[in-house]
Amino acid sequence: MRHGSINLTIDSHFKNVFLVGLAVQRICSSIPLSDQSTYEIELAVVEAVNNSIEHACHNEPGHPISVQLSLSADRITVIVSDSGESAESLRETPALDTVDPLHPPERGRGLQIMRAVMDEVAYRTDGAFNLLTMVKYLPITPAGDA
Amino acid sequence: MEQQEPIHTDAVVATVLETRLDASSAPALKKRITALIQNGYIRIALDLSAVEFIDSSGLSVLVSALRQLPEDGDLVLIGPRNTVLSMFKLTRLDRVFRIFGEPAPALAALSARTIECAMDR
Repeated sequence: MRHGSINLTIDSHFKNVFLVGLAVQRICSSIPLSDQSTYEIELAVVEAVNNSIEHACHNEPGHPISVQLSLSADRITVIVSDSGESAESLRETPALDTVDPLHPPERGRGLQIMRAVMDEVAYRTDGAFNLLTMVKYLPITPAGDA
Repeated sequence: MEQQEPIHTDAVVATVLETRLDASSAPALKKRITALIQNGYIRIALDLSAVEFIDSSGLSVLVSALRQLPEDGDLVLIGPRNTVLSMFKLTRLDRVFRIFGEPAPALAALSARTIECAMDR
């Protein structure tokens, strides 16, 4: 499998998020990943960018949001960064399986979804930038197969 | 956004034509569903078969629709693709919505609910 890294930057508006999603989907579909895993990585990235727009940029256009996607032999690493308002840390969220079927919450599933579909999710602030790093481990393929 | 086919005075099949149900497209769908409910369509079958991608914003619109319905209302979902269906399972919303692979059983479920509510009156 080929290795590499790409940076994508969009303006902080929900109408632009699909562009990042489609790029991630296309990249992921070119490596040995199931359709489900490809969908989940795209979803996690979309949720992370949505969170940046909503919580860091307060739904205000005009702020750059960057997505760096790196492919290596055993993992895909995605770093979503913005220079908006930082969260102190990733807030605690209830597990998805604690949802009351009679009273489901209307919102607040983005972070839960990211945590559920990715192998690692971490948040930090570095100077002026907020960085959300997500990692998905790739299935091990026999040498020469990919 | 969606095609609508009334099947009863208070029941409708609405087909979502958007392939991505995300933070960009979800508000428009929310408005359309709200308009349906305000126009008296309180039993809704929502055909999701064209939807290729749904995120938490899309799921939120469906939960919001459910919450807007009166007690004798109903919202059933038709034909989600496997990846879309997996999001309902992941978020446990498959316990909240009745989800059908094909339109016929979904419409039968809505009709049964119509008869059941008529008998309650």
